[in-house]
Amino acid sequence: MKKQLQLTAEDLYQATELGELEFETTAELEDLPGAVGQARAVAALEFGIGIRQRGYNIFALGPVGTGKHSFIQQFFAQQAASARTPTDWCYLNNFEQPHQPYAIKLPAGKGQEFRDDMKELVENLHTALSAAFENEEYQTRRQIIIEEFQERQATAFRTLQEEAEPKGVAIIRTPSGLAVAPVREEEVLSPEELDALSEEEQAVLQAAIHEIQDKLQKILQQIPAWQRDLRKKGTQLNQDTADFAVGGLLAELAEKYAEFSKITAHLQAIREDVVEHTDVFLSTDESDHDGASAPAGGESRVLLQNYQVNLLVDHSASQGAPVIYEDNPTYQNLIGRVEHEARLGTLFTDFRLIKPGALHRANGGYLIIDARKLLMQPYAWDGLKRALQSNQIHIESLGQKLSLISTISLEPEAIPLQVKVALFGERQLYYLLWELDPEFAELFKVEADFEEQMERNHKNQPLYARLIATLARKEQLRPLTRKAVVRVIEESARLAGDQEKLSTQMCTVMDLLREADYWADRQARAAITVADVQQAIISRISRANRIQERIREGILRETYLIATAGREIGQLNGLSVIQLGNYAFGTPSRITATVYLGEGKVLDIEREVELGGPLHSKGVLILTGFLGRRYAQEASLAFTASLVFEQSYNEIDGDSASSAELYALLSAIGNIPLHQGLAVTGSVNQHGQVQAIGGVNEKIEGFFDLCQARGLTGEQGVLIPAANVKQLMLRQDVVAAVAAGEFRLYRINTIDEGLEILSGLPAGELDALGNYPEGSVNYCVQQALIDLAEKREEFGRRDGEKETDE
Amino acid sequence: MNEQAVEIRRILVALDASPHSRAALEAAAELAARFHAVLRGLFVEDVRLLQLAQLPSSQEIGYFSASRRQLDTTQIERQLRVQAKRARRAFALTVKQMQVASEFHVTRGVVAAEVLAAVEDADLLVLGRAGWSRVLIKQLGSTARSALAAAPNLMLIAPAGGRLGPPVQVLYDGSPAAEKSLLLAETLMEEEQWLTILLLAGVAKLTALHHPVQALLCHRVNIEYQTLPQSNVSRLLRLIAAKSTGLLIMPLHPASLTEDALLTLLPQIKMPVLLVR
Repeated sequence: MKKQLQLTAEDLYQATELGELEFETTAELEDLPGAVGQARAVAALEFGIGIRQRGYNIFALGPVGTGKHSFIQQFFAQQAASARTPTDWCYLNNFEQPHQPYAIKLPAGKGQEFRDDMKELVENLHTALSAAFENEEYQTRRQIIIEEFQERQATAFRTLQEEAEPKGVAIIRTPSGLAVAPVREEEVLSPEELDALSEEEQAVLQAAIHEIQDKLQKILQQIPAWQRDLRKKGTQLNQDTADFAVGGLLAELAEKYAEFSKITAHLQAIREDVVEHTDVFLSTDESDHDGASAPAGGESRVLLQNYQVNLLVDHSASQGAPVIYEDNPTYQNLIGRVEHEARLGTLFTDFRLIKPGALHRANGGYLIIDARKLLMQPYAWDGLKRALQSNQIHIESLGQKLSLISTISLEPEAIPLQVKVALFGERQLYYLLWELDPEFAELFKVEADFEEQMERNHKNQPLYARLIATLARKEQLRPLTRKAVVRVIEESARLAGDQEKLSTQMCTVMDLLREADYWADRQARAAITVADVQQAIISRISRANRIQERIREGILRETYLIATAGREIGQLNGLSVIQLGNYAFGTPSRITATVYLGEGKVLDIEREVELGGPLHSKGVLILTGFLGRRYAQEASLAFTASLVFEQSYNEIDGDSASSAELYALLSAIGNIPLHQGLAVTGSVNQHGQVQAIGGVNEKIEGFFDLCQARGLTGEQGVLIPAANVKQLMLRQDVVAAVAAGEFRLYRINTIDEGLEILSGLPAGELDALGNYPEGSVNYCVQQALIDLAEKREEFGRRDGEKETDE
Repeated sequence: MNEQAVEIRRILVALDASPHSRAALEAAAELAARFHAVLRGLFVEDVRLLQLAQLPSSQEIGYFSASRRQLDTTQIERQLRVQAKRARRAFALTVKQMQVASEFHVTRGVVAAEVLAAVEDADLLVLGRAGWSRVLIKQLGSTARSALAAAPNLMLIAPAGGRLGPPVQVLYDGSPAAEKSLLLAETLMEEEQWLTILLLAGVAKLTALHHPVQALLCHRVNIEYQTLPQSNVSRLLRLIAAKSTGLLIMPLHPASLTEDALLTLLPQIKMPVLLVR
């Protein structure tokens, strides 16, 4: 049986036949479009893109490095190229409600044209206004209005003055008003002169003074009305002039954009605004006149800014639909934001300061976001969901959204949204979102599940070679020789942990290619050879295996007690895998079992001290089930056993050591020595079947390295579950040692097979009478259990007699 | 510029609180700086107002409020002191800016008489087109009219808003005063500036007038002639640019222009006018 279970070198490594690849270097291979081995994800993406209904956004799930992002980007780009280019979007000032700017859409490229036209209009507006207001006709009409007022005022005073003069009185300006004084030859009468007049003359003079005063007062009361009239006429003249001056400019634009009703309405609003604010344009100095380029402030500059166009989304240079990847999906980067500028110490904003978000840029196309990054940004996920639910992009600052600030800010008109969003992230994120967020299922109905492995067969290996060629070219690396490609494919199978699979975690493969290229460069090679690939693999391991070496050193110096030779009772080498960063390695652990009289319990010391995880505890409990089923059908188990991982100071979990624990336990019960040169991995069920475990390659290599360091004896080896044989992709030195008979590997299906190899005794099968053959392992165990049961019964009887005597 | 041609050492500017007066102050300060002359500011407390306040039940009507108020001497005196203080402050500020030697006086009396008395030891009298009392009526003020009548050597009348500067225009009638006007223009102008000469005379005399003018200004290249066939004020006004910047130099009593025509013309001109006797 021992020979039958022993694995050959061929079982340990599935090499790729060179003949399967028909090229010398990858330079000869064409690029491979799309993804290899992702048929399920591709179908999902095709479905997701094709279906136009709401909520059919895509979540691409899979492990990091499976190329989800690059593939989605590539896939979307292919679809987008033939799609219609979406519209441009602009924000315009709302003259009636400046805090609610208008959004208008224009055919692709038209937005830029409109913006430029409006910029030109703004530049021309002042010139046109200046020309109109410097025009002789305007100046004359203005002068006429002013002189009309002055003349009206002068006439009134002159008439009154002329009326007053014959009556011996005159109007005199005092420092704060006007007075009517009795005069003679333009000189005011002195009190003495006045007294010298007769009473009758004084009465006449006084009456004249009163009369002129009354009339003067009436004139003065009329002056404000005349001034209002003057201002009104002046304003009307200014408005008429301005209207005429800008009317032509605006009419041209209105005709050009006649098909866009919002633009024509906007142009009309500008016309009214210019006319309304003519005084502002006239009162500004030259420095304010060149519109947006003016460095300083000024009311006219602000007015002219209001006529500009904020071209939010410009597709003038776009071909097809946009494909946007938002690398930093903050709330503002997604939804857009309203910026502020400081003016004399206060913050100011208007429609020009509205900035687009990724949703604006991707509107009418595709948006790709890393789900993890999205979820890490406060309120970004909420913002995205809200936009997708409402099919609108409504720009709102976080302060407004959370009602933290209530100062007046902009409320730009919402823009209709039509976008296909693809999130990508780990599977755990997808399942967590599905479970915790009810809206997620409504919005991301398409699940594109990316495989981390693909079939390794005659069809896929050449495709994989083309994929390697494509990646190398994309990264501008040297081409790979055929042997180098073979080595990469084999390493890919090792990464997949399966002889019949290849890894689709292209990120790791890509790293290997880059590092191999580095070594090829060091050797000044034109192409990457197998030696470079091998060097890259070795270097990567040597960079990461410091801890592994320290542990091995501890074992070799017997700080950690691990036997690799001899036979011991109740003691065996288990194997565990330690994952540190991106590097995993196997290392042996001594498992010991002790048995003493008791009530049929297996004590898991790891669990008692809370260093054992639930899976490990489950494995130990299964052992009790196995023992009970096999050996306690006639009598109860009369022992207590304790199991422990010696010199283990960290938490242990997993059930891959349960078979090793069972072997140690049976050895302890049956007093059967076990071969210490062998290590064991595999879980066991209650029927004694050995089941598959993970990390088989690392575990074997870990024990091999220790044995090799102590000297290979040819008796050393590892027992692995038979189900794990297909996953063997061992290092070449291990394969060579096995081929040379210096190291052994056994595929184990049942506990009995393992017991025979470890003890060197037959396991023994139950006969018709329910007994095992003498000299077999099971016989020894059964007899030991019977002895323990009898001793326990004896103890029980003696205890009973004692109690009766008392 | 020929600064030796005409000598102006003392300039008198008559000040009150009117807009015309402010324009007069600026023009006077500029000329003082140009001729390195001493600028003398004069504010006259109008005795007529004090007399008016002494009259029984005399009232004033607020210009902006149109309401009546009783006048009394104390109040008028206080108001005049305030005006004088404002005039002094404006004067001080202007002379400081122009860096000219100056003195400021406040007197009390009949304004025209006080001004004419003070102008006797001045080479140039500068005053606003209309004083405080005639602001509302588009006519030459009483002080300006009195000054015209008294005929000082040189007198500059500044309208509100009028600023001294190019272009310079000279009204030329062939008289000695006209030639002195040209000399003054020559003194005030830079070489490259344009001089406009308005020839005011009968058609027959036009050709004859050209020669002496050219003799005086033989070195000046930029000269423009405008002829005025008849002494028509409205025509003259059209010829003089309606701009508020510039300077018109003219004889005090131009030939072919009556006294009334001059009194009608002067209030219409928006730029400062320098009258030469």
